[in-house]
Amino acid sequence: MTTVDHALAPPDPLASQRARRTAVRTFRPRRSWPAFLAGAVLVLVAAVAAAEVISALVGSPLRMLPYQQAASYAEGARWSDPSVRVASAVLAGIGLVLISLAVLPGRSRWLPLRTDDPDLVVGISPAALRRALSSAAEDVDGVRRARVRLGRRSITVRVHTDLGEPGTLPTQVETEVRRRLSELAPLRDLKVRTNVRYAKA
Amino acid sequence: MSRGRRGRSPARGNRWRLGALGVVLLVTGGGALTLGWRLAPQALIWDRAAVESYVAQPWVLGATLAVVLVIGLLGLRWMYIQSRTDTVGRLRLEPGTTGPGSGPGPDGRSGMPARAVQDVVVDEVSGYQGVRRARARVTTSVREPHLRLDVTLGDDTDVAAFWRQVRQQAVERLRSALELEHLPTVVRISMAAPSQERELV
Repeated sequence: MTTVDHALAPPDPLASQRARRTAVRTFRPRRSWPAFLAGAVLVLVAAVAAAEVISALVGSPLRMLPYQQAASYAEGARWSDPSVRVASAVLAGIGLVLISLAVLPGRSRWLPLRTDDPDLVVGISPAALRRALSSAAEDVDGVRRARVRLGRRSITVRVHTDLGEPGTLPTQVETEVRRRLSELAPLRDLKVRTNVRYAKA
Repeated sequence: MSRGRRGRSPARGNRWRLGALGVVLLVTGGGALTLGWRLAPQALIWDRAAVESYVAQPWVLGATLAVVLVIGLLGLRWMYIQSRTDTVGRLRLEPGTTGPGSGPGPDGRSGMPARAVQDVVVDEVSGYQGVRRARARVTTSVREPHLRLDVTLGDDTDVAAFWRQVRQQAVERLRSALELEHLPTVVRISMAAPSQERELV
């Protein structure tokens, strides 16, 4: 298929689905910082443990960790002791945080746009989307200033006008913002809400 | 990318490892909590004599050392993966392929500096309507390269028309020059305010 054919042909549903999946995966947060910190903790714990074990094997223990104190405390401790329970709960809590970091989708730095092409992934920054939509709202006659807030599933456009009465301004702004949004075609459906601030009479 | 290849992005691996570490901590902490709550609230958490007789066995310290070394190496590798970049410095070409700067590389194989490809793409894309800044990077693999394009557009630019032009012209030309079947591309779009020039017009 040539490029022109590709541009003119209706999108193949399977390819669209694959494109959607690829786009979502491409812009999924990498979780680099949590991963780096978890790796660093593992390395630290392993390094201390390895140093202790090696020094014990060669016959001159380093005793970096207060092993004797810890052992004498632990000797008398029971599983129901408050301190043991708190430590267990903290450990389980850290585990839950790590699991939620792995499972929850997180917020991406890029919003994927619909291309219907698995070989082309396009993303727009949330700031760029806000800028494009506020610029569209400001193109409507009577709008002095527009600000856009981007939620997970909705967009709120707050418009300031010098007009004193409602008229059709909210509808016009909403229509213009929807038109620009459909032109951009974000992969995720976004509802548009308009909030107009009129001039004081 | 289009066939599920994720290049060298660590996103999926990070999620798996964070999830696995989270499960280990949750099971350990949760297990200790359950012991304190229901199973053995009055049991001692540490039996010194049993631990010391266990540690006294000749193989225990060696096995412990092996385990902590493996954990430490996995942690180091995990940290290294976060800092690794997915950009490619040189492309490996099929014999007979010609392109900017193509020729035998230090290893004697036919290749091309990725920078030459990037410059060609940036030159072309910078000429498209509405483009303020462009930056291209060849990523993922020397044999099956991907292209990453970061662009800043004017906030009134027709974004869909822009990425279609990228696909039909810049990417298509590069793909056919490199004699590749696919050239998966990621375009990341930011936006800037209208230029002074446009405002004066």
